[in-house]
Amino acid sequence: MLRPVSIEAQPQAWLTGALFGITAVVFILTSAALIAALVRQDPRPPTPATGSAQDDRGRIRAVVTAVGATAVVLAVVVAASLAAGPHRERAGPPDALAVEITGHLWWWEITYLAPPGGTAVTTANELHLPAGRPVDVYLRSADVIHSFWAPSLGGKTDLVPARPGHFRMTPTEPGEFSGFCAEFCGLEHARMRLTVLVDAPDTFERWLADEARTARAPTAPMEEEGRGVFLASPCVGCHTIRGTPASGHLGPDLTHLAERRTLAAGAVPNSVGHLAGWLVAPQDVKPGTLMPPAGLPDHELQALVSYLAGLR
Amino acid sequence: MLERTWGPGPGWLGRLTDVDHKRVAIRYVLTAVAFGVLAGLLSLVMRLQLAVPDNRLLGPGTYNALFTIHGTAMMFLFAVPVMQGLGLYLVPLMIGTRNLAFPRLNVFGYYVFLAGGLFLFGGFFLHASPRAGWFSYVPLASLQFSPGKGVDIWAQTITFTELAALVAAVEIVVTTLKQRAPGMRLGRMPVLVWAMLVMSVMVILAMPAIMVASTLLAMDRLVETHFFIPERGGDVVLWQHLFWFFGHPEVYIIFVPALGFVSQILVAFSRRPLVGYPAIVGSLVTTGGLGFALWAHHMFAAGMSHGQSVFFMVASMAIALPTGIQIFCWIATLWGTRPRCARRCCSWWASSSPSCSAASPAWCSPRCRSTSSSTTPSSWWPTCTTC
Repeated sequence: MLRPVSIEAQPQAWLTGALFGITAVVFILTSAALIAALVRQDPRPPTPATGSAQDDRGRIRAVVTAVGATAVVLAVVVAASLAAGPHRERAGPPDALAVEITGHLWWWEITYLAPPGGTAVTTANELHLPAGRPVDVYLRSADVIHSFWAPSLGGKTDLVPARPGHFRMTPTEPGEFSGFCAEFCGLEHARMRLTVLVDAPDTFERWLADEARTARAPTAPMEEEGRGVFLASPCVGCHTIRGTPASGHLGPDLTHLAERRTLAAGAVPNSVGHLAGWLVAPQDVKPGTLMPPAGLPDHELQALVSYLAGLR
Repeated sequence: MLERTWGPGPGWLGRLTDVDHKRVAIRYVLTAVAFGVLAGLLSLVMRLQLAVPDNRLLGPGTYNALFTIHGTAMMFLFAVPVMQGLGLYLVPLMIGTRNLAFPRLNVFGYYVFLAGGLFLFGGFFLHASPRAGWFSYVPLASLQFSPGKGVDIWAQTITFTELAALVAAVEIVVTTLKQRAPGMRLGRMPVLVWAMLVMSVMVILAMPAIMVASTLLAMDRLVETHFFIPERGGDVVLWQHLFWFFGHPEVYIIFVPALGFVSQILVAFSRRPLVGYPAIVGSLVTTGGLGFALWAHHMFAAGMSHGQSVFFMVASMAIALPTGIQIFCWIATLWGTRPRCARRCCSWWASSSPSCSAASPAWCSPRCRSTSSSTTPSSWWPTCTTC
């Protein structure tokens, strides 16, 4: 049912199961008592003394016993909750990976903070993580409140403007997991998705090194023309392609756009057709998105698509 | 003669200015149910939208408007007013007084409530709906991210309905504390009256928080204050604290009267006094108190210190105890009584109507005194159910 894939999510899944089990037992016992109360007939006929303190003594004793049992169960539940966390913040291990996630209307900016001597790497809507290594996730918001939630990995935490957030997780096994925005953030809240890809450590390191490179230079003439179109268009006001003069920060970094699985934070798969559709009519794909339509003549659009689709 | 004195005045004006608590309360309940039905229709449309993936029935903007109006209407225009309306109807009858303490204020409260509801649904039909959710979290609800009049209408609706809720709460508290029939000490009040009293005290303590919050939000939007604008030193989490300091007690404001109803109805059907009347009343009061100690469990994901999260977790668990006490007392009351709706037993309606067992003391007291020699507090009221 629940598939926890991080060290932090495991006790939460365990706690969920334990609470379900305990409350199921309590529910069944209480229901059984209620049914017994309704079915059983008191042999004594009611008298004027019915309901007096004297008469109710046995019933009150039963209530006190049941309340005592409830208190014990609650104490157990509290203890289990304390054991499962959240725990007091501790300093992270030195090899922890530091990632900053910034919420935007309606997409995720993901920055791998620079290790000593390295460079920061920025991407969008796809969180790649190494298995078996603690990750310190720092949360920021550029506009309204969002909430990072990848159920299998745990750690649902809000991204609050002007209040930096943080949580730590340690993914345990490779795989592809869904993430969502879990705080209603307006028009396209439902299409603010995130893919979490947990890889073996060496695969992850290779990916990060690839991602740190500047954009691949165009090879075909069509792509060359596309780059010209891109750099001459208003696109550069919002998007960055590292290795070119384009360095806007309002929209996602496009340096390795073609590597991503989806467009517009999980709205559509990342294929050439969808990319063209997204460029021409973003409001049809994701009504309310801040991305304006490209408004380019056909051949320029084709060139632009082939350039962007080549950004591996 | 009496009818002329206490009945409504002539004509439409007479009906609109009628101050009889029963007629005003029925109006209250019916209005709340009407808003509830409207809100329910909105949720049907939302369900249609969600019935299949990638449905194009509603755009995201309309959908957001629907769930904002639905949530706001259910919480502010249905759940609380319907409970308060029942309280305004039953409490004077159950404690034996002719009307509420401030009959005209009561009518005023009703009209303010009606205005709030019409305002919200009027905005909806005029395409000026709020779309920031029934909780209107800032900064999404700020002017920058929610332009237009929608959120202003929401804030005004809140102010109207909370004012009405406060009026009804003051009515119930004052009437209960000052106008009980001779001999009805607090410890002898029907459990439902206790529940209404607890609910009303909770309303008085909780509603000002949301009224302050919605007023600050309206000021941010209309006169450019910066209570909730982070770039200018405002704090968005402050909104959440103010909102949930109302919003969580709100859950118990609805829940506590419901508990009272169960206790009261149970007594009628089991034809015996409640087991553990003091425990049940104590549990209602404890629930009301603890209800104010766990608002931040709506904010665990917003980030808080370890100590805070432990406190709010423990408080959230602890409130299960008073509820458990009541459920066990109910089972103990029912034990062996074979409750059924026999001919001689009061029907559900009769049991909660004033003529029978809802303790119209003039009718009931002599019989109670004659049949009950016991001096336990619980015995005053329940013997009436043997009618």
